[in-house]
Amino acid sequence: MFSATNRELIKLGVALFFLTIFFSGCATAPKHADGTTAHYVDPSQQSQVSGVGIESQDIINMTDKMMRDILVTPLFFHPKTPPKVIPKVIIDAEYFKNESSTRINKNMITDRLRTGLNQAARGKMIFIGREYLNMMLKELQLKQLGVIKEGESTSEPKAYGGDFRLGGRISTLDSVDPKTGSFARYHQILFEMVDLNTGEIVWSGSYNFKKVGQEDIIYR
Amino acid sequence: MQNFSHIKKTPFILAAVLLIFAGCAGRQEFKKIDVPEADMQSYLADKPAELRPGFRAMLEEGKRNYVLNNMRVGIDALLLGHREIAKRCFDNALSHIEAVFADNENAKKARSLWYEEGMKDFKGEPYERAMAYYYRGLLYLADKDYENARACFKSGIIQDAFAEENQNRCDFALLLFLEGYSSLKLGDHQLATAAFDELKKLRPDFILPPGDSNLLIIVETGTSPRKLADGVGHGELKFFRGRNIMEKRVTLHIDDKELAAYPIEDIAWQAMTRGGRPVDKIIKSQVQFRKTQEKIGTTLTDISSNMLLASPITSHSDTLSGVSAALGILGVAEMALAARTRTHADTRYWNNLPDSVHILCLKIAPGSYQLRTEYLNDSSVKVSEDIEKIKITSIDANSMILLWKRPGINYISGD
Repeated sequence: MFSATNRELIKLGVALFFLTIFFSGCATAPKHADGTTAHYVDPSQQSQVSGVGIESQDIINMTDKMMRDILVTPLFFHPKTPPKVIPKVIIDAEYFKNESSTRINKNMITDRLRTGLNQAARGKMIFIGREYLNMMLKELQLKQLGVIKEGESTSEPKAYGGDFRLGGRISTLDSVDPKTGSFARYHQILFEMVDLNTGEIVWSGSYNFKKVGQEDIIYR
Repeated sequence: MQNFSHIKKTPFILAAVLLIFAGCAGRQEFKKIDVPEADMQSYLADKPAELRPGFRAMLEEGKRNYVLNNMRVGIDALLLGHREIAKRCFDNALSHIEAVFADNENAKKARSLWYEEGMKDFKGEPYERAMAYYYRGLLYLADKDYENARACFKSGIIQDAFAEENQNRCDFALLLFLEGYSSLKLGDHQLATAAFDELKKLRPDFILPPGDSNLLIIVETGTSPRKLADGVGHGELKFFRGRNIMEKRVTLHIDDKELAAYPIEDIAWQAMTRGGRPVDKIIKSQVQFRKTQEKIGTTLTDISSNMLLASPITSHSDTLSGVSAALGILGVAEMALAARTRTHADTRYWNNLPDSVHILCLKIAPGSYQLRTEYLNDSSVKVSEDIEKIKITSIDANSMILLWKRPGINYISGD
């Protein structure tokens, strides 16, 4: 029917034809990827979804580091001469400022630091919940009015005054390179304990980290 | 002779087959997720009726348009006064914008020859990302969370820097102003001054707000900038100003006092002046590939036709027609390959953004006022006006009230 050469040529053509189809594929809309069942992950590890801001592992690492540092500070835990009174400390976000370009609920940092220290202090420090002051006053009022009979009723409020209070600042330095789509954010998180009677900064600690990222070229 | 005609037909039969395969080669179709109606209704049940179309789209268009749909619904929610929903939407959008998409499957596909750029999960162009931070920042301002508001405005500035050819430059005056204003309200005068110094370089005629100003009025006008695909293979992304924009200036009358709002930002200009995108080079090379394949295909089929015509007059007609058939098949295959190449630029855009933003800062005593907002065209002729009552509540010295407006709509913090 055909010469051998012709048959070979046509075979080659048909093979290339199907090869082309195979490689080109039919680029229809891809199927939407299946979801993932909700599952626990280690918050101290970097997750798949990650940016250059403050993430769970940063909060855990920084508060752990600050806690360790405070726990070995003689003023609070190993004084040469035992204090006459146990130091009263306020640790909250009231004076912990965010001047950075990272959005954050600062309570996540100060809450973790306070609870960690409170658990480790074992009575060597008294932690004052200043944010609960209204709650305390309300209860006190009910006691004074005789609405509540249980609990200690006092005519004068006896809320503790703080000896030390946490202050600090979150600041960042950002840099971008539009040509390469890379960007970097340096975080400097400063923690300071201030003597509320003198204004002296009796303890300072800082936690610094820098994260860099580069978007896929399609997003630059 | 019968067999010979069979050979002649072969490339044309295969061409027909190829055309069927290439039938899906026009614009890439992005199918919606088939969500069972019962599931959809359950998802929409707690959403306000006016926002349901947006939320429906969010579910049906999935991850690919997740950021875009959150941006759109976020503004709609703000316009309708659903602030909590607006916050959630912008938080959702920003969490994806902030994630580094360095190893994303859809991004890889969007880079390939066989998928359009629109295959990628939408994150927006720098002006859109900056505006997402702007809206989230406004919502923080309304909540008097000036620190997170400032963080948003600063992040928006960084997004804008991605659009600039020179490193670390930003020309988004609106965000610089808001960063400075947030710092002012926080009592961070040094940071406020730094931001205002940058702002003055861009808007020398702007009068800085007094430190004790307690009312910030933001008026948005016009329709959103548009994206269109142009050029060979629609591979060039071009930005255009929105259509039918009449309002160019804004004058406010608070009781009998007339005050001109300062036109601080031209969003369309921000969109239109971004530098070239690296992805444009990828699309350009895809267009080049397509053109080359088309050229090869056309040349091969031309040779094939000529050989077929010449074959009867040669002594090797059988061999020549065989070669012609093989070349014809190859030529058609090359053309099909070219047709399969997806070069269309991604033209999805945030379609409920404004064209311009105008601001006014002032100190005002608590009380009720009549606010008349006049929208003027280029020739200072009034296009439309809104008249409404506003109530300014008593606030701390370091605090402020935000009044956010679009024609016919207002939102005031503290309401």
